[in-house]
Amino acid sequence: MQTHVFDAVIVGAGGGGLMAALHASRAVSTAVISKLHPLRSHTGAAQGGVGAALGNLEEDRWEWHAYDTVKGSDFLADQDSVDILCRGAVEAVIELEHMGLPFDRTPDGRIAQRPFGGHTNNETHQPVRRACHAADRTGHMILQTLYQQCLKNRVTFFDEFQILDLVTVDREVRGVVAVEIVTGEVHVFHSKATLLATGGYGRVWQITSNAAALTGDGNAIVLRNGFPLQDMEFYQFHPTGIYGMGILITEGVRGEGGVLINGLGERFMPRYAPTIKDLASRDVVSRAIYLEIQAGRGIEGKDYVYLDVTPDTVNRYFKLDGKRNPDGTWRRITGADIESKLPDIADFTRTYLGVDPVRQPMPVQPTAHYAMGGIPTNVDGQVTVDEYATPVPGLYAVGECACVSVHGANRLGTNSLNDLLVFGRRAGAHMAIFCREASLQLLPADPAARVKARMDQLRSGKGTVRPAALREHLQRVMMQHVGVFRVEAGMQQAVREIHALRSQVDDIRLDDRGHRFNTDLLEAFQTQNLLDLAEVIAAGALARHESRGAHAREDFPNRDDRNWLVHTLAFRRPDGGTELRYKPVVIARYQPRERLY
Amino acid sequence: MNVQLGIQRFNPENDAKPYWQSFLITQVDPAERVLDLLKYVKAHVDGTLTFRHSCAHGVCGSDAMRINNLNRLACKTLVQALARPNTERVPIRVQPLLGLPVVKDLVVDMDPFYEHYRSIIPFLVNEQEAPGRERLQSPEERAIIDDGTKCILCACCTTSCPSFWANGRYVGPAAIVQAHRFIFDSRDTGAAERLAVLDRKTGVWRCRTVFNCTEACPRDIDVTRLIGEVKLAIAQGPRRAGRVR
Amino acid sequence: MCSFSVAWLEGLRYAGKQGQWSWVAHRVSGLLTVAFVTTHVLDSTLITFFPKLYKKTIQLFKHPLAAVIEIPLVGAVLYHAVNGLRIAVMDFRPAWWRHQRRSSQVVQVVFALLYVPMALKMGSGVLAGLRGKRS
Repeated sequence: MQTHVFDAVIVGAGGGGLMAALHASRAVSTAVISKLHPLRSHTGAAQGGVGAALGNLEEDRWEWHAYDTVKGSDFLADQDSVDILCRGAVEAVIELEHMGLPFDRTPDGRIAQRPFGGHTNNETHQPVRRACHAADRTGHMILQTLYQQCLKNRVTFFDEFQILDLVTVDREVRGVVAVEIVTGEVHVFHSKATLLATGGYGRVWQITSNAAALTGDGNAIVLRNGFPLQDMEFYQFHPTGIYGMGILITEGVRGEGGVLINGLGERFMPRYAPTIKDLASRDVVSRAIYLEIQAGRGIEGKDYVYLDVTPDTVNRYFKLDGKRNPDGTWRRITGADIESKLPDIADFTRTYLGVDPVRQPMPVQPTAHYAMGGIPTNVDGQVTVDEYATPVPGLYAVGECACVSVHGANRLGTNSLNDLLVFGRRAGAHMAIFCREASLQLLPADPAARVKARMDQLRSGKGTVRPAALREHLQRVMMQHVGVFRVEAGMQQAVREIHALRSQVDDIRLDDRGHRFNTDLLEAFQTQNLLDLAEVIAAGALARHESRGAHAREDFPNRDDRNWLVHTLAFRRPDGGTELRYKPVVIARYQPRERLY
Repeated sequence: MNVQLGIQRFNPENDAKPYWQSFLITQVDPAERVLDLLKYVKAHVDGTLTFRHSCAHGVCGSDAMRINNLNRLACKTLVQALARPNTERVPIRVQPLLGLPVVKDLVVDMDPFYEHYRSIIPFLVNEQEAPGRERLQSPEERAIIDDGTKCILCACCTTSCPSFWANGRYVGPAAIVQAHRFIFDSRDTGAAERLAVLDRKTGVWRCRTVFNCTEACPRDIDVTRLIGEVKLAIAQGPRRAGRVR
Repeated sequence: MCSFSVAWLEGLRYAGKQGQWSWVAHRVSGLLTVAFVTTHVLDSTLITFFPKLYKKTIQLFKHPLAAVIEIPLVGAVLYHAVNGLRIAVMDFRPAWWRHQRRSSQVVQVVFALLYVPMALKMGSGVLAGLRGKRS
């Protein structure tokens, strides 16, 4: 076993982790450990853009962005955090540009912007161009740029190290335990401050846009260490995943004019969102697609619809909608525009579906995409442990694994990237200050004992269950019962099945019992994380007797602000069950009202 | 459709040298990815099979490998693309990338590759004080670097290059593509330093214009063109080379 | 970064396209050209140092077998020259990369046009020489 000492240790090297590392490393010794090489992180899969009210193409204000975010969240977001997000986003995007991010440009050389779902001009209520983009690989460029800057700043990286546990003493965090994947050796990272930026957990569901790595390791570890998770029942299904595969088709397609078409050849979104139609919030669009399919109006009666961005269709609807350019001419797109603005999307659909988006519509279905919930934190990224937002000394979280909460019950497109930039920066800066003042606390006698015992147990398990079988079963159950629409009976069944699956974990048998690059072992560990999180998600969803944002219940179809305008805090009880507590929502300028698009 | 999937296996913990293992997989959907087959084998047949993968749609760059003797991403290679007409079984042979040490099965040690990447100063160099807003850049200036910014550092290009096979100290196509992206960025001032690195014996001059890199790139980057532009930039200065396009 | 033999064995199995095979041919023809040139440099040096040996050597070159070997050697020099020009053009005009597959084909055609008549001429020369000897 090796022990490393750093002031700040950051787990996860996506956008959030790298942004925090960049800012922390300017003042204190910083290490980033990541189970993937940083450039493989899932931030790189973000496509359409990062939201910031730069106003480069038309009038825009950060206050409008803030209201859109709060409205998008179905009023569950904490409004103080949202203000920080939307004001900070402008600064963060400029900072990234200065770091060299190759944004697309307007004719006068400024950062180009496009419309995105739920982002509006608050006076005209029409979509506004707010998403700053680099073609349809904005996340890829953010990830690369931040990694480049970390190399420039000489941040220490431990690539391909899987986090296994936190080192805690009396609910104080003193570091993390991780395994070096290539050798199988356990390492202890001893630190004053620890930041988790481990990303999402979309792998809980069967159809997901999330990478295989997104197994919620940080969240599950936090939960098992007795800390709470917040708002876990709010999980976003992105409306447009490639049918059957879940690969994301950016909202930017609809931003460029693409429309959703049902089996009757009808553009159905105007029925659900008369004002901004196909650019309504993701939860609204996903539900609309499900309802169309339920009513037998899927394509050929099956469980998908078309996303059509062919120039003929788009230009026809531009005319019907009266969409004009600032100079008064009709808005138009051409095949060449699609190739240049959405090159990756065109590549995906050609590769995986044999569909040319310039000529044919793309078959899409909702796909599990983003966790609004996560590890509760304050606006400086410090993890909080109760209804009163009391911070844990030395523990931070940022990005998708965290819950500030700026996304509430439903996140707007483009707000994940600015979230990790703005709060990554704040957390990094706060860690630097914290580390300067704090002293390094002692490690317990054998900080890795628990982890080593668990690994040995998995390696030598004599059971009969393959981890993949557990995982696949879980993913089916969650897709069926804790997906876009939820009902009491289904969720109860899900809770029972998850419980049964969890009890099978001790019966796991691995094929690979070696030490070198043992992904069999790691997948078993990650499967356990998914099971732990699924239980909390289902418990929270079952208890919440209302429909809000991404949490849509058939048996409680309305939002209930009297009883449920609260954040859920889920704790793991010592007996293994889940305890739910509730925390007030921060309401400031915007009072909850009915949410119409 | 049936697939005869051959995989080159090697676990230095147990094996003296690499060997081939073959799996017959039946009822394969032609639109499945080679990655799906590997994941199937790992999940249901042999959990010891080891390979890197993550996003599964060609943007993270984890699963570059040799498939039927060509470097590709397992997640962007569909079974139907490897099928030959009138064959009952589609033969697919999967091997680790060539030119990097094998860690286990299809996993190679990427460190030498990343080291070359780091050697070309892969970040924007500009010590002038930044303006309050964004630095301006015209769409035309932005277009010059567009191709290079697509690179996901999967190593398909570098490990398809005969010059790299023969001499691992050659920085390789991927590092040059990344250098190009900064050398020709109108906001960057570090071109001279990078060109000096690439003018060394281990730099661009080891490129023999073989085009294997261009053929292998899963992101359709014109790798050899970018290398050519860097060669010209060294010979004639970056300004002039930028115009040659 | 792998051993020389692995690079060759595995590398030649790599399913590269025209570019790779043009490169292999370029290397092989390059080696042959070097051999060709070295031989001539060596035999020319003999004039100064061992004039007697030089004469014997020249006699050796007039042997029909040497003449036969010369045919592929000339081919190698020709291919190396034409393909070398192609690579030079590609290096000076990177934007022409689009035509890289066709460019290799053009090289093959140009090489064939130049080499086939030459090889025929040389071949018939050898045959004539042989016949002359017999008669």
